[in-house]
Amino acid sequence: MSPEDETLQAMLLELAPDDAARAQLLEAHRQLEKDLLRLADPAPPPDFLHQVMTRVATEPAPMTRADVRSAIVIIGVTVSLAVGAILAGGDPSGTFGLLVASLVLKLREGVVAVGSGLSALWTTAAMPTVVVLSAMLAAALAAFRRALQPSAAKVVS
Amino acid sequence: MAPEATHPWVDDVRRARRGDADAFAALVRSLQRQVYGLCMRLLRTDAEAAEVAQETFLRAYQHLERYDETRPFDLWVLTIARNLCLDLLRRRNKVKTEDVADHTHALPSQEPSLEEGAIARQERRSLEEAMATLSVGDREVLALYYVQKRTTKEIAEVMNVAPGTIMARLFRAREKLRLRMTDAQKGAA
Repeated sequence: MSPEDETLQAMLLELAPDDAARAQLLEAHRQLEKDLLRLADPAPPPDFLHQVMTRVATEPAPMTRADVRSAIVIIGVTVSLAVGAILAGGDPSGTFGLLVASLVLKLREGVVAVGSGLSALWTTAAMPTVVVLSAMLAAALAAFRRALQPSAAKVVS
Repeated sequence: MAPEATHPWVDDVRRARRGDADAFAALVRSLQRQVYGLCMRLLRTDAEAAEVAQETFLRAYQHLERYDETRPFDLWVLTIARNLCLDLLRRRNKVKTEDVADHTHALPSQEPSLEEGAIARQERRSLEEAMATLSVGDREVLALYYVQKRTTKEIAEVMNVAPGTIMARLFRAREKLRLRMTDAQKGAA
């Protein structure tokens, strides 16, 4: 006898100790079961489906846990790097301004250097440069387009 | 490779995940009566049942990615409905149902009314009224087993309890119902 059957037997014995009472109780339960089986679920309101689909269309999906985790990681890494850069520069209050100014100057020098390089490249090999840049642009656009399409694995999960 | 389609709703679920509204509408159509029925039995009011049933489908849609295709979709949705109903009952301190308004008129039976007539309708009404006085847990287990014809395993999954406890819960709920009906008959006599 399974533990569940034992529990049921114990409950039955407690409610109806003698055979006649037990038979009467079981018969009452059988009758009740017959009546219960006749019950049915009520139909929802006629516009129920419409209401659900309207809400589905208008209410945005909440952020998933993965989205929240990614956002926290990105913010955390960014803030850590910024704080690290400031602290690595020594006294934060005194050297931060100098650090920013030197970065701007280095950036400007870099832009000028890249410009000079491109200019020299254009005067010596214009056609190959155009071909290479066009190919790189086309490859980048194709990769971007592919990344935007949902993959079957993502959809099925 | 995608898993085998083991349940009839798997294709619709996959299409709904890709944003196909028609597929999700088909899922709602096939489950709306069960979900609304369970909400109605637990909450006992039309407006609340409709609101929670709508919310159930909305949550299901928004979290379709979390649904495990190896499990029956209807049980997953019923579990969401049950949890929302219990949340609402807890919020409104309605776990004890004795003072809840009578809405048994909205709960139909399967018998054709012409065949059994007014007496059958009165018996059903008495049964519904007695059921309404039971606890949420008792109503739930009776509704899932007798009205929705769920197996004990399915009920255990929806209620998040051990399958071996369902028959005992059913017996207890039936016994309480029998006593309530006996009391009601004595009161009427």
